[in-house]
Amino acid sequence: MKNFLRIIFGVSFKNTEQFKGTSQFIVVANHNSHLDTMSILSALPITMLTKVHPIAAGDYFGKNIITQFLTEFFVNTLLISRQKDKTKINAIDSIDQLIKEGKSILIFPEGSRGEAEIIQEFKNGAAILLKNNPTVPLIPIFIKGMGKALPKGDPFLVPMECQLTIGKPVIIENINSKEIIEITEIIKHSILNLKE
Amino acid sequence: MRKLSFILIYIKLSLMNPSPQQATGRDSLADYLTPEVVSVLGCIFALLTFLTIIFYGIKIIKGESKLLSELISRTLSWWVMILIFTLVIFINREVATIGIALLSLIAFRELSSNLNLRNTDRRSLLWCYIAIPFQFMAAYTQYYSFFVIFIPVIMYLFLTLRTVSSGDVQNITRSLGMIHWSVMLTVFSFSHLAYILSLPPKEGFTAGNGGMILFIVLITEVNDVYQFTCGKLFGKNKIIPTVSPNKTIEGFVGGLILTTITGYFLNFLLPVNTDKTIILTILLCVVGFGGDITLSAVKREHKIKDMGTSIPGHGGMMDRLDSLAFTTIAFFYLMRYWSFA
Repeated sequence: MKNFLRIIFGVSFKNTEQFKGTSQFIVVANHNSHLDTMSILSALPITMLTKVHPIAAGDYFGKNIITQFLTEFFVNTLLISRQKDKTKINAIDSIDQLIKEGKSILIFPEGSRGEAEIIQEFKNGAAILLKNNPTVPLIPIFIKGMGKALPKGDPFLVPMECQLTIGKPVIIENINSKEIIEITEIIKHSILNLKE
Repeated sequence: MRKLSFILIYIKLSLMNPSPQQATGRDSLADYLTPEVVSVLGCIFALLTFLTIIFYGIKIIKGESKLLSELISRTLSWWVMILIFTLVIFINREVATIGIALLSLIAFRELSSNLNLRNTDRRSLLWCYIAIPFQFMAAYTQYYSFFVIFIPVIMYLFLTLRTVSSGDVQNITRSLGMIHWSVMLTVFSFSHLAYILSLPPKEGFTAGNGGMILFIVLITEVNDVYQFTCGKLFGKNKIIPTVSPNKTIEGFVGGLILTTITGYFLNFLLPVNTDKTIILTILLCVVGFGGDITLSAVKREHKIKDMGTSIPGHGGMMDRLDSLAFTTIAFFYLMRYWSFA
């Protein structure tokens, strides 16, 4: 899968060795395309693959039973509800529980794919999770070019050069004394720093 | 690693039970590795081994230096490139055709990603990728009349219509030109390598089609190296400073002379006599230089240093193959006119 992505679609992986030595982590990345999830998962070491759960929107992937089955079975996805009602708290709780069980998660703080190559406002979910689990390291990933290979609302995949830069695992110090918004800012900076 | 083991198993199988086609001596490993090809490949490997030993020797005696470590990493990547080239081209015709098709796909992807095309051009680009297997199938099956017109005529009309029907008129002339030019430069030109490999055997010509491929690739790369070296040693007068400040008249002329001498000694790889080989080599030098500066100009316009990251230490595929994209076409049609028409 990794070689397939690399040769046909021109995805280049930088610093994949960062995953080694950490058993549990929260991966945060910017989000432009469906290809993001697949390429991040293929950058992981194979033994990790069953332990990592990408978080995805339930209203998009859970639309019918087939897509729900595909995403949950093959990609190990945890579907959450995006609506801003009571269930939102449940969504965070259910992710929280996964982390408590020792699983790793992959989350896109932007919440949605948005326009190609534009980074949107970050949501607070990842920060809340980090605050609840201060020992779990954060791995930032910056993705470049995927928005052109498979943008939102286009069914066809066109090979384009993309780059996946994986950052060093970060453990934010004094996380309990920081505000949620501050932590979100830190996450955003750690991703943007990889842009160079 | 998996790929390598696959290739090894393939070699094993094809040696164990030769198919009837291989028995006629058309597609087998032994057929492409004629004595001529083996001797030239042997020389290349000997030279590389010699250089590797020299560089490592200097490293052990004199210790590390910046120039030396760069030379060593360059030599090592040459090793990798030549080994992959030998494996892909000389195993058999199927592997070689697929390998060259993949190469042109990567080259096209690098080029089209760097040209800042509009988002509405994506469908046209998709059709370019769909065209690659057809072009290489035509090369593989020796369907000459289709091979020659498919991209220059059929895809030219089709891509134009597809781009226009996207309905976006902003910068459309630019996109029309760029898309078709990229396909011509990468897919059309590299497919000639596959076609050369599939040419029917010629009476009294023993080096085989692999010999011609080796000749063209070797002359093109050697010309680059000679031009670079001569330019570094004697270079004073710049040819076109606005495009590439490293290209000098001295480098060009020195490269031309040295490459022609090399070509003269490699005459046995071609089915033509010495005079024609010299004319051909001079033509290849000039055309290869053209390819080199064309891609330099494109990179300069888009303010990028390398086209991609596919070859570690050498930049992208298109940075290495810029001259080859031009020389294959010149070589193929001149060769066809002289000996295969």
